[in-house]
Amino acid sequence: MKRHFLLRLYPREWRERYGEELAAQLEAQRPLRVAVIADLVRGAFDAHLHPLRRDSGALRRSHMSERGAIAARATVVWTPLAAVAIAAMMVLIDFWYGHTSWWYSSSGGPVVGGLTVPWSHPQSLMGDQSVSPWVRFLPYQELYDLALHLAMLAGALAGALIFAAVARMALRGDGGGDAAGEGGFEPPTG
Amino acid sequence: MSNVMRLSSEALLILVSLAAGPKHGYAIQQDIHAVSGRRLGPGTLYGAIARLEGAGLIEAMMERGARRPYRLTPAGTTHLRTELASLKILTQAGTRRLAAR
Repeated sequence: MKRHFLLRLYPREWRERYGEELAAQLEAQRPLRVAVIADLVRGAFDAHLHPLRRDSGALRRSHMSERGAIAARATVVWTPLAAVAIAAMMVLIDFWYGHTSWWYSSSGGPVVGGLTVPWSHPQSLMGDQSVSPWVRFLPYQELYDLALHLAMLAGALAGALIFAAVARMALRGDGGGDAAGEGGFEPPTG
Repeated sequence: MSNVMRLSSEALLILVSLAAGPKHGYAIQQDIHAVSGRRLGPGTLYGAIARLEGAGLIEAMMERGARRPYRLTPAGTTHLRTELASLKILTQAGTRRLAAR
């Protein structure tokens, strides 16, 4: 399963051309070592930077004169991954260190653009008198922090996916990417 | 073909391996390990194979298959000869200079 996931990192036309061979190689690599995984990730990055292209019936590596298309392709695939990774890292670091200490003012409300928003804190909605006994045992602040961070992460993920979808649609017209799915491979004629 | 990039060490190793005859990816990997002591990862190996195939220096002998053999093209053979001659000159120059120290 993990092996197939690693192959999914490669561009589709690349997988169609070399995927079967690469999968067979990976099957021979037991156990799958970290160095091999790192090598595959690096290879996938390289494959996105230098996509195969259908040229006169054969797939050929693109030339650097098509840097725009290459950069766009790499952006489509790697930017969402990078955005989500960075967002996840920030959320984890922030959650780990002091539970959003830089989000909350001393009065207990989150700070949005320098303003304290006290009503958004769950306990401030009810006040001490109205807190029922069972509520005291619930870690409201932690739950609120967690929800806030998960929302941030979901926002980053949604934004990245929307960006990728828009970029993919914009790229679809360049004729360089999805053409490989239309037929089989013809070997180059030396 | 004439504007082929300068070969990476991995690409050169693959060409040297295929100079002995057609091989599939795993056999190339094993041969390179036996000849040079280097073990190319699958990502590196197939990245170099894709480059060489795209440059027309090697070609697949079958359209599909998990063990598809590759062979040198005439252009690949010429290119390998040129590269090895260049390396030979470099090696001789380096050896001479070291001997003169």
